[in-house]
Amino acid sequence: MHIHRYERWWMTFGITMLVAFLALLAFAAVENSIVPPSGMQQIDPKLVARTPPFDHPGLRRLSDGSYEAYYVAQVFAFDPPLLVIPQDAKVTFYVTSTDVVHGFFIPGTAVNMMAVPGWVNTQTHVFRRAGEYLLICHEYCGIGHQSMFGKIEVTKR
Amino acid sequence: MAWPKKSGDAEAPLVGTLRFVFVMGSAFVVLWLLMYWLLRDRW
Amino acid sequence: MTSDLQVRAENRVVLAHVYTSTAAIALGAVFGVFQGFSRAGAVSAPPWFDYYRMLTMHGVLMALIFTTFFITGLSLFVTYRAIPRERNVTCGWLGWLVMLAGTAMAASEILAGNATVLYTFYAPLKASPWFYIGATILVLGTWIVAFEIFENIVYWRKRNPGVAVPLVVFCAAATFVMWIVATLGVVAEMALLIPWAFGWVPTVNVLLTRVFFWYFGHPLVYFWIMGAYVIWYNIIPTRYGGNTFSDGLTRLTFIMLILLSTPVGIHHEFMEPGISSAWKALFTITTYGVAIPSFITAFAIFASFELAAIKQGRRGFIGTVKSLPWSDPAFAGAAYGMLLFILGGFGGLVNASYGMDAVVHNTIWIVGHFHVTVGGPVALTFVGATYWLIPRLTGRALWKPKLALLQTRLWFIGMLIMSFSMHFAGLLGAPRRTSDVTYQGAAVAQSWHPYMTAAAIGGAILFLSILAFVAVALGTLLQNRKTEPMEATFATAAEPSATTPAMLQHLFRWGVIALAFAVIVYAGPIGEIIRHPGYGSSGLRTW
Repeated sequence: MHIHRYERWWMTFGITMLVAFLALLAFAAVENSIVPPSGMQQIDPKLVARTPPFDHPGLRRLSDGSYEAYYVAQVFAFDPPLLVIPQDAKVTFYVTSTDVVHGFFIPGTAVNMMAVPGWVNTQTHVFRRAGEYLLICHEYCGIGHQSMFGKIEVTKR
Repeated sequence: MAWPKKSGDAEAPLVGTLRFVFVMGSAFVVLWLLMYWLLRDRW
Repeated sequence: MTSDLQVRAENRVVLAHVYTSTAAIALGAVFGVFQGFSRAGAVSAPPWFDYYRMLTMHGVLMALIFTTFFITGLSLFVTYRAIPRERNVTCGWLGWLVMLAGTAMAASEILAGNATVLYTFYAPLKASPWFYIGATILVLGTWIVAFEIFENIVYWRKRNPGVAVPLVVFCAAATFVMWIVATLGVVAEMALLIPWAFGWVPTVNVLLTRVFFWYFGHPLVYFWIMGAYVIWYNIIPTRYGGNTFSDGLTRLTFIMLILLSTPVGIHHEFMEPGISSAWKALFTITTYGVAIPSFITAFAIFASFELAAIKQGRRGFIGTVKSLPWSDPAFAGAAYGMLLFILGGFGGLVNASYGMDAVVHNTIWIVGHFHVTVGGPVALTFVGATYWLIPRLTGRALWKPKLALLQTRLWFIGMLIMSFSMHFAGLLGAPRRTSDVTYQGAAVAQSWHPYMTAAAIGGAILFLSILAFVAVALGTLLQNRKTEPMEATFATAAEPSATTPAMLQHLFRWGVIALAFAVIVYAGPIGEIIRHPGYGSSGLRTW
């Protein structure tokens, strides 16, 4: 079976391109932490309302000036519906669901998580730009899916 | 290089194919890097 | 040669598959155009037939019924014609009947509103058990067709020891070998969901069902793509007097697709908890691997074009493009599909790119992406192939070929408009799978509106295009203008099968290796999930 020499050149180009992309992705992951969210912490979806920290969803400021935001996603609403956070502050989102799988996505940012019942998902973000951000559920969760959203106010420093 | 009538072992002059795949491949590279560059401030 | 009676009997089976597929795309298009207008705020679905029931029908009809029935019909046709023998066609009919029964069962549950769970049917959303059973029966029906194709391969090998299986049959059979490996995932998922849906089992492991679904879900899209590749490699060359570029290269491509289609599914789950980042990185790498057979295909297809152009004394890229039969509907369908597939290929690279996926995951960008991989390329290639198939099945010339040609161009334009606007809206954060995207007038949501309008316009063009396709498909069947029965010839390879190494002529062996490879790659994430059983979900009906 004869491989045409142009074919060999093309395959070399293609594979080199793929390897280069993978190298760049590895660099991005290590250097500026461009990694997908993940969370291995588990939680009983039936007891979320009584399991700290999700018994008081919302924002908590840590001693080092960074923040943690605890969100409960449930059929057709996020709790807290509104979060107010200062510009350039590091915030780590902890998200879980009490019923079906929901989405947790902030358009304009890479905060993009699945809220799966029985699991706590986490992602860290810094809001560089002040203003109002929309938080939406982008995983089909039922008849009210299109109106499941929250707001995040990033206040000027 | 005249390509013999019967496709012997001499290879067909697939210059069009070469141009097509390399233009497509380089477009992939440019667009992928562009995507990465334009969207990097979202993290 | 087989008797005329035999050929006619075989043609009837294939016609049943193909016209079921045509009916599915026609009905699916009605829901599709309505969705476009709903998201653009022009209409809203009535409560008795809500948007998400429509979306489930659209997904099931287009992605599962239209595609599967066409691939089974096409694969039976190429097997019957490339391996002529006096055979009974009960297996072909049985496969069709079982597939149809499963389809009817699942569809009736969706229409009744008992399965508004979209075509990905994620737990804990709990549909009626008969929806899951119907879907399983549809899959079992495809296994019957697969058996028919494999049996013909065994028949061929017994009668022609040492001679390579005809390339077109090899490609079709490879598609089903990959399909069998893939469908084991959805059958495993159904084994979890059906007892749960009946209530015999109180809870289900949500993450495990999702991993099983996507074990199946991505090779499902390669089942469609391989169906289109069977046509691109073996049928389209006959439209421009060309040859398949290389027999060995084609078999290599299909074998790579058997091996690499399945161990990639977790790139649909990058944003989920419970799967550690290391496994997600592994699946970025395997997904990049499955891009390689498509790179080979890009070269092989254009090389086939250029070889034909050189024979006509033309040179280079422009000469080749000009030499192609752009006014032939069967060719035009596949060619416009190939152009759209370049966009799809690029989008796929971005989606699979680990952390970068966070920008587009579950946004309308993804919908734009799969409309220029299956909605454009695969659908348009199948539509073009239908224009080639029906005259050969019915002995009637294609009705209004000019309308058929216009239809392929309308589809190409409509798909470009819809897909580009979906990609841009997705980058702005517009979500997928929502009946509307206003979010009570939120500022960022207003920025999506012009793109949603453009997508609806593209959708309207696509809808007109499908009406034209259905008209041509029915017009050809109903008109009585008989022509002499047309031969179905398949492309011969410029580099003949005699040069193809034996290793590339095996099939079932590669299927076993592919299954082993998929199990090895999936052992990590599935092991991790099983080690964290956690809390099952009892399921909800939130529609």
